[in-house]
Amino acid sequence: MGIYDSKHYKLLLLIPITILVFALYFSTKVEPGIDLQGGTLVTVSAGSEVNADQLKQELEKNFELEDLKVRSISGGTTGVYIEFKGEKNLLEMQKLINSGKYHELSSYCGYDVNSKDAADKCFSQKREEFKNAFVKLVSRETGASSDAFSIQEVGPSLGKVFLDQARNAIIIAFVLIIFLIFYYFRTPVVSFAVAQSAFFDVLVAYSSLGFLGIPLSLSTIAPLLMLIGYSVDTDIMLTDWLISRKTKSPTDRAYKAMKTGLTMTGTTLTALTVMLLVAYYAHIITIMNIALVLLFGLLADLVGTWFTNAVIILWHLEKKVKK
Amino acid sequence: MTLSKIFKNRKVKISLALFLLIGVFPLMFKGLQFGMDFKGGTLIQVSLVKEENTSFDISSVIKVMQSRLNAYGLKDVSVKPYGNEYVIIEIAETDPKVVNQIQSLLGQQGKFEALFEGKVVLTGSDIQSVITDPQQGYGIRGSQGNYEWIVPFRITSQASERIAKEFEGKCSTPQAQTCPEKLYMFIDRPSNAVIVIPTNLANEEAYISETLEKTQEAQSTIPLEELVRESGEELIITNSITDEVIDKVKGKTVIIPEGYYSDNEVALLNSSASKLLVKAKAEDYWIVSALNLENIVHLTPGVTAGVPVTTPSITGHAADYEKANEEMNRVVILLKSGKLPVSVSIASVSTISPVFGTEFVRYSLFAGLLAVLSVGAFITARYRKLVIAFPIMATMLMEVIMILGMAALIGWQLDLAAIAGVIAAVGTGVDHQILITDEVLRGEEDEEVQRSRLGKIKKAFSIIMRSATTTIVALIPLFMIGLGALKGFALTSILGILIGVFITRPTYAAIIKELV
Repeated sequence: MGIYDSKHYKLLLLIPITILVFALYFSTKVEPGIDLQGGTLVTVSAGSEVNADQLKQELEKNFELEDLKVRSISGGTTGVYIEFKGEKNLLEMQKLINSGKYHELSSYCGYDVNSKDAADKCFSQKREEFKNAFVKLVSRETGASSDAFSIQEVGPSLGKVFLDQARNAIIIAFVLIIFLIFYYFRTPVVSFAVAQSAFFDVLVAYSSLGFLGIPLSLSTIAPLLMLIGYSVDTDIMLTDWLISRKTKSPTDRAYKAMKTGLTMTGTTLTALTVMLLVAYYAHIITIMNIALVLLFGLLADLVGTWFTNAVIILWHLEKKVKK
Repeated sequence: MTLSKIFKNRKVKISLALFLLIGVFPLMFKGLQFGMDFKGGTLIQVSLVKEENTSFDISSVIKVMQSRLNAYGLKDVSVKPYGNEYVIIEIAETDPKVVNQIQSLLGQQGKFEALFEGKVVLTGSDIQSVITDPQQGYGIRGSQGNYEWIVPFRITSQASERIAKEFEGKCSTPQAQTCPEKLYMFIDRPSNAVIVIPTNLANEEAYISETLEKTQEAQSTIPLEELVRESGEELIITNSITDEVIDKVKGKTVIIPEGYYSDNEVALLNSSASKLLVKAKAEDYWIVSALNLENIVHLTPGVTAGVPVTTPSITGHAADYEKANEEMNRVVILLKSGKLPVSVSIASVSTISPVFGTEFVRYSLFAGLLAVLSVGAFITARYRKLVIAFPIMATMLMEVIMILGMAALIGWQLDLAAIAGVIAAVGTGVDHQILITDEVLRGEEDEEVQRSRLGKIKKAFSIIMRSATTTIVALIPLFMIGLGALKGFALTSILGILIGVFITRPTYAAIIKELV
């Protein structure tokens, strides 16, 4: 007895629908990361383990940093991650510059500012001052030398350009694959079944960012797009079995496809779990995030393929037989 | 023996040859280029400040920046446009001191001008070449406390004829060694500007040493008024910003010293001026830094007698050798590279420590190998046949090497996202091999679907082709839009999928037919 043998196999659709509700909820919780929103990410490799709480307190005492997060790195390497959206004064200055209120910068600069040039100059000077003071404090607290610092700074306007481009790339990608899938399968219902799975996977993976509190960044957009590839593999295979082959019953063919499909997803899940463990041990946050997003996406693919795509097409075939 | 049969297969032979050709050889002879994520470095984002109603070619901006970085002595640089408003520069350097110098080089427009009697007689476009041969006068002379640096440059024949005419008969003391008439050289002179200073600063800088150095024993000096006039700018000395001053600066660029005038007065100036520059107090003369004056040279009687000048030079003075060297290099670089078509400002700077890079490569390799092994273990557990796991693992490794080889071949810089692309491609590759395996195995157990094995593999390939094209189509926008880091991801994924579809997949099918 398999999952498609029951008369009520269509009820399986409730599973993806439930997940969809959760996914839509968590997708509103996704926050853009430093590279898409602007901000600073500092990674410091220190000789010994760093007390993150103590460093955070020290930083809060000396600077006004917005959205400050401090995490210590241990295991393979030792050090600390420091992330913040910006220093309060610098953020306010930037806001004033963006809205053209150059004069209001004067109180920050200590002299009168009245042009964009003067404002930019004053701003970069203040930024440099802050950066030096920051590095000095952190290296005092952690004992790390200044060449062990990785500082990533992204201006908010640049981040917005990135975000817009990423969004455009994903939208165009989806429009193109919808056309292509329709070209391959011709029937609207079948094409929908295949395309929805890709959508579903990417959406669930995206919402997992909100669920896990991983920021949306350039390195987490990559796995979202990787999922399109993984998703269509199993869906096209399943659909091919159900639509273009005629042996045995559709249900039997679905089980045959499932055997292959589960092996396909299984290998990928295994590889990802290994990657996740290594990345967790070595504290390579980027790879860890990629692996996590992909894991969620692939679990979603199991649902999108075997509970949604399969059910929709079986239902479609059932109706065709009745006619 | 199956093994020898496999190696006799034409497909296997061809793909082994290709494996060497596009995988192993490029990696051995050309080598991989690692991006900043792996080897550390600094990423500088420069925003281009567009003036209204002007258009420019971003590729010329890139050319100038590239030549400045090369002239500075940096080998490993990449300068790329990002849209029409940003340029992204990657350098391998992480030393904060060097990074600062580079920042100042990139943040300058570099517009060279020489003025005579308040008139521009020579610009950067007249420069033919910059001479860096010590035999021809280039270099630093002097001793501790008083260094002089000299950068001669060659100008075009048209320019030298033009200025010969300009200078003719202009020497008021033709019998002396040098004339009192002087040529003023600037890099990034504020054009059409009014300098507004209070009397105490004007008194302080009433006479400017011709060496432009305060510390030097002044041999000869120039009155402030003359200096500003000869620079083609206007000077207003006033302690308070009166209506008259406001009227005079209308629509012009105004330069004032920092901290002398009240907030109110500065606001008044700003509302009247087209642009207001507030210049901080400099180490040497304030006025020299306000004008961006580089050098003053006296005309010689020979020059004013009509002898064309072909190699003028810029000189400067500094108290210590290091500073002299730094200044000289800056001038050489700016003259050599020419000016940027727009003014620029630094938008962001990020440095990645090389300490992280090496760890990164080590762990990435480790994670990759473990992932391949775990896939092998999973496949063995699933099919209960070691012979299937082995070719799949071998194919994975071959694909990785071929993708990296192709990347080396086209000189693509590998970053984190590109590695993710390799993983993606190899991952879908495994999916496809399982598809082929299942199609071949199914023939054994399922009599109803007995077709020729070739037919089954064809079936598998039609699925593979459809899913591969779909994935490639999804990646193309990413590659075209050129989202900085994600471009590498798209490229390696597409390469990997193509290599898979055309090389490794058919070969795997040929092998698996022999094995089961």
